[in-house]
Amino acid sequence: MTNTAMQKPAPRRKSKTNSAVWKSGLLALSLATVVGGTTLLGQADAAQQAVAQQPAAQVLVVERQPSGELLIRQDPPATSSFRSSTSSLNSVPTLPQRPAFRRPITRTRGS
Amino acid sequence: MLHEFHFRAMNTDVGIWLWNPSRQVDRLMQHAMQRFEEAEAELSRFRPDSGLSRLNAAAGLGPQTVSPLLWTALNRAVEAARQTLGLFDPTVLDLLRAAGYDRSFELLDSSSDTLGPSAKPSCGWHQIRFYDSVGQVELPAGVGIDLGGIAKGWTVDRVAVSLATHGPVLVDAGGDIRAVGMPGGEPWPVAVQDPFDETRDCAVLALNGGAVATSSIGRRRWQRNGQTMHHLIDPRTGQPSDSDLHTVTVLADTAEEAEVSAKTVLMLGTQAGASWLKRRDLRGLLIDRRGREHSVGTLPIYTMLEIA
Repeated sequence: MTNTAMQKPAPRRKSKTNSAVWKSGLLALSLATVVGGTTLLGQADAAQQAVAQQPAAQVLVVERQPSGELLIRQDPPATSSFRSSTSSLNSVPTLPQRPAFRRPITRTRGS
Repeated sequence: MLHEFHFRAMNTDVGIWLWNPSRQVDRLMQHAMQRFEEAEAELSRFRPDSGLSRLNAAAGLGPQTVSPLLWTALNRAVEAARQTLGLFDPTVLDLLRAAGYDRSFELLDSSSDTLGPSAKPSCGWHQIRFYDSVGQVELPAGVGIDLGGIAKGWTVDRVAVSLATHGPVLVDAGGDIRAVGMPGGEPWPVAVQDPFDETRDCAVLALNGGAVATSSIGRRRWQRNGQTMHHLIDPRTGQPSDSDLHTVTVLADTAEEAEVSAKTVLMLGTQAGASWLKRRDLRGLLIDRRGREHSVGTLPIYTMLEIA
């Protein structure tokens, strides 16, 4: 009995310690999640801004005139500039990786 | 960068869009233009010196040697006729002439009523004879061939595939459109024109490769004997199609298939046409004469942040 009585508090102490460790871990994990999530959201927002401010793809339009002459124009003009307003945008490549279609390029119609 | 090139060929406006980092694609575009011009020079029924015109003129005169280009195009047309059980028929030329479409549409007076009737027009794709070993083709007397739409679709496919080795490309010849690849992974936005109001679109499709083509009775119309005629002849009746459909747009793997399918569905009408498309696992937008739209399959709709 005595032995049993003396041995009982030990597991209780151990359980209290484990609980504290577990709670601390959970707290740390939650904190890390919040901090990590905020960082990721910030990065995603910056990336989204970068895409939104990416320059429209340059289009080189060549039209053959009835006379046979080739008429060449650039759209938008090659001189159009692109400026980044925050440092996070500096990594945006100067040349767009995809065209920025703002309207249909052509139409299918009865022929 | 996106290169855009426009010219006229095969009696229609041609546009080519090529996504390529190089600024020097002129040579490629010139080559593409030459392919269209070669096709027109050989396959047009409106050019008296074309291989097709010579073949038509020799109907009833025995086997004729044809160029490899014309040989292939004729074989494609006959295969399409076989696939559609004759609803697409390249031998409707005499019927077209009888209906009054006997010259390039630009030269046709849409209000003209003066053309005389053609004598005993006939058609029937199965009457074309191929002599494989010698590359010759024979047409019986009274049978003429019009490769119009299928030649255009086929040429669009050929040019698109040849340019695709240089980057994602889209080729459009009068609404017959073929895309290979996507520029930067972005689908090509292609509108479907409203046949009743050319200033607006019914939809904007996201083309991530493949093709789209439209057939309509709203274009190439003229008057004959007090009747409004159009160029889509139904081989079953020998008359311009009188189905309940006004305009049909079909998405397919190739422009040739889309073109042939659109014509076939237009002649079949809404119900039979929709079934025909479903059996071939094709998608389409059918617009009937009352302006009602019928979608077959799920159309890939393009989502744009801003459409001007």
